Amino acid sequence: MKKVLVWAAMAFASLSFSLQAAEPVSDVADLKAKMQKAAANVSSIQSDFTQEKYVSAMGNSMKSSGKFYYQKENKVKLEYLAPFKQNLVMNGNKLMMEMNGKKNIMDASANPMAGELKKVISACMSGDIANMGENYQLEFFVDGANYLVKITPKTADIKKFAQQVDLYLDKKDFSVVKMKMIEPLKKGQSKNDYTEYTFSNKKLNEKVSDSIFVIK
Amino acid sequence: MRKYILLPFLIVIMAGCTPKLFRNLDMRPATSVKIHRGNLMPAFDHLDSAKYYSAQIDFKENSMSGILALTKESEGRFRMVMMTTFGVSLFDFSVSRDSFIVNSCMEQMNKKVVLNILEKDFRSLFMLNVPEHFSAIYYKNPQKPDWIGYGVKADDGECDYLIYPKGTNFVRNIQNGCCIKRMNAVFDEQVVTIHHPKLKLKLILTELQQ
Repeated sequence: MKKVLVWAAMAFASLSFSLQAAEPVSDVADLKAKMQKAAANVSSIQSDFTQEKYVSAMGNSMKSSGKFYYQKENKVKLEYLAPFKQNLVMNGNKLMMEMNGKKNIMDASANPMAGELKKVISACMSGDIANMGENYQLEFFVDGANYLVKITPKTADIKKFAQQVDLYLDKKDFSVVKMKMIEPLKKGQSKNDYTEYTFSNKKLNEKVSDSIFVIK
Repeated sequence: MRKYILLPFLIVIMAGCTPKLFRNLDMRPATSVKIHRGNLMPAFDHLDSAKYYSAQIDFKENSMSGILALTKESEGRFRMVMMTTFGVSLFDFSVSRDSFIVNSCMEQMNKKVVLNILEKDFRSLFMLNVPEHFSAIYYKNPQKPDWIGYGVKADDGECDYLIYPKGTNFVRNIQNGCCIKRMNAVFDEQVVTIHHPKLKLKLILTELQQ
């Protein structure tokens, strides 16, 4: 009986490993071209999302959910519906956070850090990562259903906020399935804090009202 | 006869010494009492598991919002992490009676004057600015028997606690410091408001139900 249990455990472990193992993409240039073509064909995205913020010091994570909207060019909205309502809107150079009826509007062109952060989030969530610039190192992997793009910032300023971003793209349409933003390790901690977004019920290229992205 | 002449002066002096927090409720000093810190219940009393708050910081005309996570790391040591809506950490501090550790802090906030304000605020909120047993002046107003007040000489100056209703030991209001350093914390059902009126700085925390 003991042997059976050991074998079962080993089989389960190897299965888990095989599911998690992602192999490097052999033809990166081809994949990039396909991604760029797919991104060019997407004018809008609407989906549901869940956000999990893991804070190592708290020993648990905080979950939120809501609606995600993307409209070409450069318009992103995260409408949080639970556990409480709030909005994050990116439109051109502006970024707005709205909570409890209070709006905080930032001009990304006047705040380089906010601008860079906006660029990363906007590019990753829309899946349009081809134009992220030279400040990031991209590594491409493939597993069963998804491509995994590991994005590592090269500059110290950005590394303060994100050590790495893992982007999971659906192999079928290159749409974003999951995005995991990993923070740098903090003083006295053994695990990194991270924020993970999972997108579902995606609708591509359906009309999204411009009023959704208005910042004022 | 002399004592009748002195009495009005004495009352004026006593009233002048009464902290503003108690003066507003017409409370007067009654006696000196010994208090065990564990018997008073500030809003952040039950932190055996992490609690999350929506946090809004108003500074003059500017406003910033995010999420504040609080937990008890060990007895007498608390951890607080503030992050933006989309998950980027703004600050991460550990505070105890004798230490304040900055685990991480965004550059714009990582300034001594800002950190000093936050350190003092969190010490007051968690009642880490008083020893386990301390003496206090007990304030009361016979017309409002449900309200009681304690005036305490804390590590960082005068600190006043307003308790309501009497018997629950639930701290409703904390006032600390004076002039530019004055901090006023109000604990409501699930909302905590920390206000520095002279600095025009306000932090509003609303508990999130997970």
